[in-house]
Amino acid sequence: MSYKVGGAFSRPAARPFSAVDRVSLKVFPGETLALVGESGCGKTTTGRLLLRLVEPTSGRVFFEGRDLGLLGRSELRSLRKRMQIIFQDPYGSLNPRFTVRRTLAEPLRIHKSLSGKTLETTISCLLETVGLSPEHADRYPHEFSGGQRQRIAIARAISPGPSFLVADEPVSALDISIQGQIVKLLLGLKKNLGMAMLFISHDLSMVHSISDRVAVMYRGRVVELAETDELYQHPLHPYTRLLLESVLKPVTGEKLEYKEEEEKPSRPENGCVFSRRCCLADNDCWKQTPGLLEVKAGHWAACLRTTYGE
Amino acid sequence: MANKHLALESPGKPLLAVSNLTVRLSSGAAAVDGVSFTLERAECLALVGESGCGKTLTALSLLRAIPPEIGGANADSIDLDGAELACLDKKRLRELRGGRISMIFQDPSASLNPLFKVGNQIVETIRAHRQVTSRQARRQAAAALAEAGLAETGRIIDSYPHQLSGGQRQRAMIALALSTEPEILIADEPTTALDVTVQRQIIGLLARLRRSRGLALLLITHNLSVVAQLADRVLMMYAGHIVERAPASELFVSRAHPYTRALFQCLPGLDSSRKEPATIPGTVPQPGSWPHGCRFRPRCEFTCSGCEGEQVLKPFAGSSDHQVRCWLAEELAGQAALHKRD
Repeated sequence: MSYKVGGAFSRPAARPFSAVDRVSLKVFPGETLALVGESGCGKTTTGRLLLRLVEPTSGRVFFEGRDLGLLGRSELRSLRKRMQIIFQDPYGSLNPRFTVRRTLAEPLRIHKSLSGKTLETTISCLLETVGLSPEHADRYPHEFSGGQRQRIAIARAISPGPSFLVADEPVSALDISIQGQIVKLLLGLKKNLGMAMLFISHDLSMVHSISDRVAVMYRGRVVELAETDELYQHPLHPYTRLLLESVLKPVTGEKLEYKEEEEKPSRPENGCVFSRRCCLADNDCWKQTPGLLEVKAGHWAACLRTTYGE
Repeated sequence: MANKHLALESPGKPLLAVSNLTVRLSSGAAAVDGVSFTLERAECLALVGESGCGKTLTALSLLRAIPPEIGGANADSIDLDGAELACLDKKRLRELRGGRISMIFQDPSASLNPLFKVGNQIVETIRAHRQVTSRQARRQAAAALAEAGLAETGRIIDSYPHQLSGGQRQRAMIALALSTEPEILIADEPTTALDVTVQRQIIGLLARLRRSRGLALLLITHNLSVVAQLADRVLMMYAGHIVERAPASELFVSRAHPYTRALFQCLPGLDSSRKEPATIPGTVPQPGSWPHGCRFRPRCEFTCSGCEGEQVLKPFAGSSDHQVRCWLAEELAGQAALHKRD
């Protein structure tokens, strides 16, 4: 079983702009695929495209072998219980006027038609699964910390029994000591429920410790894709290398050089999206848009100049 | 631009000395509980801790900027180069804020008004603190933006904040904060919301500005990597208390307090062997519901009956620079050394 997406999402502008540009990704059952990149690279939009929370301009998303674009409303609704999402902001994603009970009851009623005693027992069970207690069911979101709210959001997401979870920066807004708790919870649930996960993040250190494969995005395109260790040890794309070099290490004594503002160059009409910032770019790079090629087994890069072991 | 406020009268005295600062919330609970520290000229002091530790309230209290509905600050003394801040009148306070002490935030929109052009905001700030013409102020604004590393200062001056990128907004906010040539810059999570590549640039900028202006920096953050790059000394805060105080170089090598140790263990490294990130069980206690004795006790792996007693800051390993609020710290350090030898 695999999930494929190939799509582009454009909004009308003086010049057509693709937030997500001809991205093709597969997420395999039970795996954690990380999607990394900086703000504006299209990773959040990609996550939403996979769940058809936004409509692609072109391309298709296949979920468990079915083309999401061809499904009618009720079919899509029924399939939605197999694919869920949790968001970055634990304060914005829970309705402040609903008790926890009401928030959790909603998907259970819709997707599993639960009610009465069964509903209550399931809610209590869900709360315990995410490390909270049944008494929390009657409280409101503002009574919880950020980490606890995220646990509630996770409980809501896993309640219909999904096989695929999109986690969009699920811990970025949380304290460091709590991040580990939430990530541990997600990984445990993933294992027990056999879920696949798309973990969207800009935190390269976090991603390194929890993902099976990593896809790096830049300006709407996937520029590199590989198994995690391989990507971190042998990054091929110049942008991936820049990202990894930029990560600050918790080590004193490093002399940081001062650089003036890096002008964000406009998107080139043709050619590689990274060409204007790339120190390796040559004439070909400006003219041709490199496709994502399998440079080594399981390691893909979109760069005309890639060499291995440089 | 040399810092013309460098006082020659008392070179040995710290620039800022805070004594016994307490911030009480409107509920009556103390969110900052008897905190004392100094800040030397051109030094970077980091206040490190997670949400609820009181670090932001500590910084806001220096500017007397805590909203009254949140709470109020009290201190035995807040001495800025001989001037007592704890009892300033309104006029002096206005001169202080943005004048001698400036602040930048995680979210640039906290200081950049979205309705006004960037240039106008800097000009307004400059003219509020100095007697200059509008033209002179505009020139100084352009210079401040350039010093903050922005190219095309002419365009930026006439832009609204939303027309700038995240990194540009942060630089513009820094330019605004420095346009009045403060002696102290308080930076509250200055890089948390920024992309990885931009974070590096902003930290490089702050380091350079410190050197070129002799600026003292009070850095508030929970990001230990940022602390490593910028800080000379570190204050670890937990539940309203300072739990450890040490030079940065020392703290990154050996940590005394169990909370500091646990926090450092939560850091994943790029070159670490793949394992799940470590965590500290439990959550930070809220002001008003602190456990008696050591406030970290419920979450500490070394806790024992002696931890129920009141804990005070004591020198660690005989050093006056390194202090820790844990009666077990020396013993734990000794055990750690033993393990290393085995």
